[in-house]
Amino acid sequence: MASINYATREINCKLVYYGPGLCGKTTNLQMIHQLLPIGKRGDMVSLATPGERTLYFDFLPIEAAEVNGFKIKFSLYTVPGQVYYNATRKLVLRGVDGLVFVADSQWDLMEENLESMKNLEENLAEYNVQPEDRPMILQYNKRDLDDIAPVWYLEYLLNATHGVPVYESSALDGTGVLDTLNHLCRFVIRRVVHQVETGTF
Amino acid sequence: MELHDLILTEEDATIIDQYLIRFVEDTGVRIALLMGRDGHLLAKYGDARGADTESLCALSVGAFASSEALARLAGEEKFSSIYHQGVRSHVFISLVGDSYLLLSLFDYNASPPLVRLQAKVTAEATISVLERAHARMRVRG
Repeated sequence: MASINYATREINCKLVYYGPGLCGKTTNLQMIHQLLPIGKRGDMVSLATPGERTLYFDFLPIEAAEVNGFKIKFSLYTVPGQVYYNATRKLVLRGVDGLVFVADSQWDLMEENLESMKNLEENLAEYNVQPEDRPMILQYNKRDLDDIAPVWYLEYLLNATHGVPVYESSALDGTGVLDTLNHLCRFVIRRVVHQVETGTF
Repeated sequence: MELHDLILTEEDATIIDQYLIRFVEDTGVRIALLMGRDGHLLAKYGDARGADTESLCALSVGAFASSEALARLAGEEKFSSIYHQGVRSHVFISLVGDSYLLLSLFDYNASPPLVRLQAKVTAEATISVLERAHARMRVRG
């Protein structure tokens, strides 16, 4: 649910990082937090288990450039990837304006990627949203590891029906992290501007 | 009222600000935040110095969603508010319609029963503005 406030001249949008457990969603947010200058991002909030697994969500507010005199603010969230936290994933998706699906490139984790993508589709459907209704980027993470699937296979597995833009990444060293975020932000801003201009917001 | 995109005009924002100002002044709470159930801050009033209002919103939404799940386990459809009591600071979060929340952060200067009562009054006033904003968007759409 993007919101536009004409009094404060702000547009607020919500971006969610989705994907299977340990695929690198939290690492993406940690790198964004590390790479963006302090004035462009707030503090990161992580609700994690003692073992550093995401329990509820991670949250990071960031600010983009102004568009037509409006300040654009993005709230970045991750979902907990572990299968049994589905109620929380559904909650975090509420009002989502844009999505990054972080896939784990390791061969052994193809089933988990596929299950997570199906889970995303099911959870969005509960809000009457189809994945194609929201800007989405696919990020193939952990490309620095040895035992990884080729991109063409990940495309076949995860992107055949969606056909969304793709980035290869290694979130641990920051590769591809900001490219993914920039692309999604542009996507979301363009959608909001289009909706406002056409009166469909 | 479901969660949809929202445009607040300057007039909407001014009216909501007035409700929040009255709420803060009548109760003595330190900060009042109006937010969407998606975690977006819509309006704030009070002494927000040093308060991370964006994180307050994100965490309030999470806490409230947990309380809803608890309510269902307890045989209730939902809880209309939650209260976190600290040593010096307390947080009261209440539903505004179905899609918005009002957070009150307060200390010994405010009385919890009064905060609870006035939060309800403020929610009822505020929801009419938000419903008008949504109705306007439905007409446009």
